[in-house]
Amino acid sequence: MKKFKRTSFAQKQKAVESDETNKEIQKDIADNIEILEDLFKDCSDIVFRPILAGRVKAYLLFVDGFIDSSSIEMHGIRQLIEDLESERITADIIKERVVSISSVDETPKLDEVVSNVLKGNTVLLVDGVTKAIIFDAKGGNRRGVSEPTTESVIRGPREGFTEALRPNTALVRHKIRSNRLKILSKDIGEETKTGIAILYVEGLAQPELLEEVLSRLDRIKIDGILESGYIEEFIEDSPWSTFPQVQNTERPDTVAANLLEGRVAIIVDGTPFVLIIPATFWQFFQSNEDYYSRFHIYTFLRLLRVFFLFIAMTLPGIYVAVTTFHQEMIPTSLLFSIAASREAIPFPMFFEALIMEISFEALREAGVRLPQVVGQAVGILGALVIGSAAVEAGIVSAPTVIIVSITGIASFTIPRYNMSMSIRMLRFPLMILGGMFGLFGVVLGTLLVLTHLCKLRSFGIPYFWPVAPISFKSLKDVLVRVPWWAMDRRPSQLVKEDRTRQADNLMPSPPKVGEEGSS
Amino acid sequence: MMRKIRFLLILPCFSVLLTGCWDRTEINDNAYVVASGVDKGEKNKVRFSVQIPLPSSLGGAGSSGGGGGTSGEGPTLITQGTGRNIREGMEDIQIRLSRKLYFAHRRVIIIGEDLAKDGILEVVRAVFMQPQSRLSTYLAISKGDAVKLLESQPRMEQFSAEAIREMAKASSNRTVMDVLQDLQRPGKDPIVPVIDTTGTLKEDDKGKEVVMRQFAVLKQDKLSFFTNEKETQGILWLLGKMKKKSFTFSTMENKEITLQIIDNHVKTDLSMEAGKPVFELKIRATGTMLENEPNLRIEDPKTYYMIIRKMEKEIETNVNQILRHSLSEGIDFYGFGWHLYKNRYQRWEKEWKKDWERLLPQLKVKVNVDGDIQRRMNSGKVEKG
Repeated sequence: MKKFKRTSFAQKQKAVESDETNKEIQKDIADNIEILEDLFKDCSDIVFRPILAGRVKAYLLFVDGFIDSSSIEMHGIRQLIEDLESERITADIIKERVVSISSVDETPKLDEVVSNVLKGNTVLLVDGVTKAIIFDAKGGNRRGVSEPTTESVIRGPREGFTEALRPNTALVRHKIRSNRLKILSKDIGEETKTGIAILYVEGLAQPELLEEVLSRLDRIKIDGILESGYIEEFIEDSPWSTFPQVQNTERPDTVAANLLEGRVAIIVDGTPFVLIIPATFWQFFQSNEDYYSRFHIYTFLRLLRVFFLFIAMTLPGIYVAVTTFHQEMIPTSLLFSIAASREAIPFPMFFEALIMEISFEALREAGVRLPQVVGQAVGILGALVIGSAAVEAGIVSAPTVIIVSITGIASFTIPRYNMSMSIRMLRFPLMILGGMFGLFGVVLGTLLVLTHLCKLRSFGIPYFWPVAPISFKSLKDVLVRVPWWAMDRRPSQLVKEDRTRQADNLMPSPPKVGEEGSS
Repeated sequence: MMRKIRFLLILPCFSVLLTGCWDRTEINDNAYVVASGVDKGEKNKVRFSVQIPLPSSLGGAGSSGGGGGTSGEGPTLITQGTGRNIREGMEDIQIRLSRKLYFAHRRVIIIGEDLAKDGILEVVRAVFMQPQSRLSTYLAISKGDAVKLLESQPRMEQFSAEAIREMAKASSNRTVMDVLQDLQRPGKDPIVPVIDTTGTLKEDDKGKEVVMRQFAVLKQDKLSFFTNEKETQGILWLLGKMKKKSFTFSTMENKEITLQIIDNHVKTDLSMEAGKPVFELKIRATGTMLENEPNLRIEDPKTYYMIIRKMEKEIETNVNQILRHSLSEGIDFYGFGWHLYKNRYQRWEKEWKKDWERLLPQLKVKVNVDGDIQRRMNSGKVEKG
């Protein structure tokens, strides 16, 4: 079955290649237009705009809505055609004459005409010229730069990526105005021809990493890429792992910071989520704001996040284990309080906790999917029904509600949503283990997760680095956030040469009082 | 990869087969014993009683229960079983209970007076043998039957076990482990606090309150005598447990000074006189003045030394009284023999070990108190110099 599918895909490709689009552009414009109109049959959004400039007949081809029609007018293409002899029209002349067009190209092939029209470029076909002139007059309505909703900050830039590729690369270029910032382009998707930009800083990103990224991207043969999540799943190291091995972000400052640490970013047209590779586990517990506000507070907050990471993963498991196997571990008065509130509960502790955890997940999911107006109603329902009414009705006990809410809050302290999700999912197996084997099961499960984390790799970088394998120098940006003047080296696993980030001895201090100043 | 997943899927199936590992118990299937008492029964039998709080009437936060307290029975279940040993007594209780007895939360063990006279070793050993019990459980000997103490209902706490636990912790802090150690050490006899019931206003044997004001001095594991008020204080001085307690002594007729003791420790010095061991106990006692009835000016060195001498005298009397009483009965609760065992092992083994009990009444012990009043609260009205 599989084999059949693969061959059929290849055949289709061959058919496309042998099509008439592969032909050269004819001298007679009518022939060209005929072929193109045939190709774009029933595509009502493709515009064939005939221009009669003096004796010369010409056509402008573009996708309606992709381009800025007024800018074409302003470019004075028409004037240009009138002025020039038809044989002498080349891309070079337009380049020379029209400043406001950013890129002008020419091609003798019809299939390139097609692909460029679909990309959003404008193609000029002139009668008697065997080359099509392609120029960029992109425009149209797209969402403007706005504040990212998934990564909000108190202090930090408010701009986020949008769905358009070029404005996105421009946002990064705004942050890193260096010629060492390289942006490679690629199209992936047989049908969608999605534009993809690969960003890296030359000299910082290791060439092997870049090569690996490019080769993994080349491997992708698919009909369409609609979101960067498609790419993510194609280039991961361990596709079965629940842990995200590629970081995604909506923020240009996060991308810039990662590029400066030798990572590679992939921007996909059509989504504001940019991929950053390679990713390490601890990266998902860092927020960009950590680096903008004062380090004392964010050191504390990072420790808090790590603490709540364990809470989010293991607390329900530990709760179930301790209350059903190790009652001796609970302080006596707390035990009686739990026992008193559980006296009327019909379910075993494990099912009680499971019911609550699952309803919490359902509540969260309902809140995300529903329109905001209805979402509020869900919030009220959840707080009222699951919070207090369930306790009063004797379906669940109050301590369980507290445990579930603490777990919920703990999972929200993880700054990256995809990591938060995978941690949240892991507590269910841990709960089952806790309910079956007690603390022994919880410890065993946690060990399994830890082993898996230590084994995992993201583009050759150990996922748990710098904790395992341990690298003391890099630990200063993991559990703690040292002040900026102490972060003098770039991470050793990512950058091999040129590791100096800043000059030495940048620690500020009050000016030394001169001799005449002191009395 | 698929093989790995298949393997992982098979693992839980094995766990179902290993049914021996399923020792899961719900919180509400256990009867949490907070205190147990052991009394002497007929012939060879013991009466074993337990105190179990009833979760439904404890009124934990969030539950609609609560109350209890004043209405007759109280929030605890007290029940007694008899058997030839403690374990059998336990089983006797178990057959009457719908929930399983759970001893990991037991904090207090009370031994009845009659049983203590026969020996407490079997009781503490039973605690030690049972892995569920805590060695940090407090041990106390009751005046009269132990079950009487379990039935008492101090108003302050939800159940008497909690009250007894807090009191035992504050008084001498003797746990089952301490007593077991004392029993095991050569030349050392254990002491155990004594608890009794009392009323809220006056002494009342049938009252509902609990009082802990004496010590039981044991010879080996058998109860020998209960201390009186002075002896009790002497024991506390010797154990170094007077810290944070108040100490009242009289300076002149009907005029007393009360100190809050802030430092109390004891140093044991051993010397030899004519081949016989002589001990010198240096007791350091420092306090803050809480009450000054005679209205003395302690800033004046003369007055200060007068007060200190009275204080030292009082402590010395108390300590000497308990030492003489116990030594004369051949009891070594302070562990002079243990001190020799540690410091003069060879001679202890050869000369003293055998008839240490007979040697004790002649043992020379000097008590040397070093008292000090370091500060006082308020100066008050000063009249005399």
